[in-house]
Amino acid sequence: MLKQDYQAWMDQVEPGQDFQARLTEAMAAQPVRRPRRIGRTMLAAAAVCGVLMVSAFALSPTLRQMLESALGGYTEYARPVEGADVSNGMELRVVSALNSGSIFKVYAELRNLDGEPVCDTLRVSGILTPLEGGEDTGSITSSAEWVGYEKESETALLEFTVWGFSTPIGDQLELSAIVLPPLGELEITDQWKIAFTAEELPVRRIPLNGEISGTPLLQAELSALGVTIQTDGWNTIDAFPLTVFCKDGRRLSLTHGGGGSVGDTRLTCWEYDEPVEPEKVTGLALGQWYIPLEGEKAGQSYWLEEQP
Amino acid sequence: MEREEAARLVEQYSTAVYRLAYARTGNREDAEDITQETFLRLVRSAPTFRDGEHCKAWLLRVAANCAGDLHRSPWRRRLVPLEQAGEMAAPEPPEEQGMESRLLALPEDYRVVVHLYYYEELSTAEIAKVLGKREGTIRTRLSRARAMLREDLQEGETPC
Repeated sequence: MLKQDYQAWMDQVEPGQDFQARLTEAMAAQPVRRPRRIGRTMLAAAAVCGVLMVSAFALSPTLRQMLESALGGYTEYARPVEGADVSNGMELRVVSALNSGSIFKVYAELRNLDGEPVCDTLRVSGILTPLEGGEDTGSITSSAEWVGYEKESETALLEFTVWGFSTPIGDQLELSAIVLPPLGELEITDQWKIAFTAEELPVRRIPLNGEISGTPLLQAELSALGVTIQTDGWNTIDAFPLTVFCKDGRRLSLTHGGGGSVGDTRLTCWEYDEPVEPEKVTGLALGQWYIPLEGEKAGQSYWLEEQP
Repeated sequence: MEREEAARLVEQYSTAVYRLAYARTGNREDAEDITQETFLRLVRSAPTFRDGEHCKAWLLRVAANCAGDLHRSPWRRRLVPLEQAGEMAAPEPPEEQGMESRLLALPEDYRVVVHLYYYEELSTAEIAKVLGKREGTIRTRLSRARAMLREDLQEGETPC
């Protein structure tokens, strides 16, 4: 009787048709990103491989402030980088980067060399690839996000966030990016490639064992930017909330960022709001599944009584 | 995401997600928020699924987590000018002594389990997988929920 009553009641619960239409539109509009908040810079697409344009343009005080606002607590972790390219009269220059293994943030300026304003409806996408290291390290596409715009110099500050390299890829990187054509069009009119060096931040990599919901856990990677967990197979774990347990007793809920697939494994990345040194992490919880971390090893996992 | 693909996903799965969200919150507006957030995460994450069932399980899991985040999220807080507040429809009261009022009387965590068990007809093991919980936790919640709903075991339901 309970089951029948429940089903009869729930059968009457339906989302409105106008809601479904709005939802469809909202999904179709992704991943177009509009300027949302100052503090996150966008890195526009890079130039043709191997071609670097030396530009005398320096980071203005306004753009420097925008960059520092974007970096927030990560300002001291970011490394200045150099590299630029020009496509169809638009220059893209990398100025700063955070390289933490699986999670990357790259910041760059975009401007028209003729001084014309940069169109704020530009949609930029990019791929980050290592210039050294082995094959099958993965390369993840990310959309650039507008962080700020300096009217005086007509320069946009952009941020790319890239997730998902499965092995250490070193510090020699190449960003290839394009301006996405408008919907319905196929021609790509602007594309850049920029090679640059970004020193990798300290990363703590810990082999894992066991599984969650039938998904084998392979490795946890901790950096000041966040946590990446590598799993085996097609299943994803990105729907699980991740909690980090720290030596000082704090429990931090991380924000799911992104991920990628490399071969038969999958990487899922979660990000901190503020830096957390990897050596200060004593455990991770995926949902209620707790994994103690002891040095470079994972202890015996177990279920917590409640969601942390 | 292409509009056609978005429309297909919405048509195929949005009702199931919405119903889970409604069971959890008892509020249409919150259920819409949760449903929208769930599908936008699907677009942003772009996970790979084996099949439709895998996709549905992922969506239900995310929806359950989003519902848990609802109370802490700034997007829950809705501010409207006072002159518009009078034009807003009052929330519909749950049917007295009906199924809805009985469900909403349960602790929030129990409602999702009840919904997945009785409406999506998942086993306790499957519910545990979807929610990332121990099966024992699911069995306990279901058992307590049924006791609170005054389930008649003589009607043939399989006890936990």
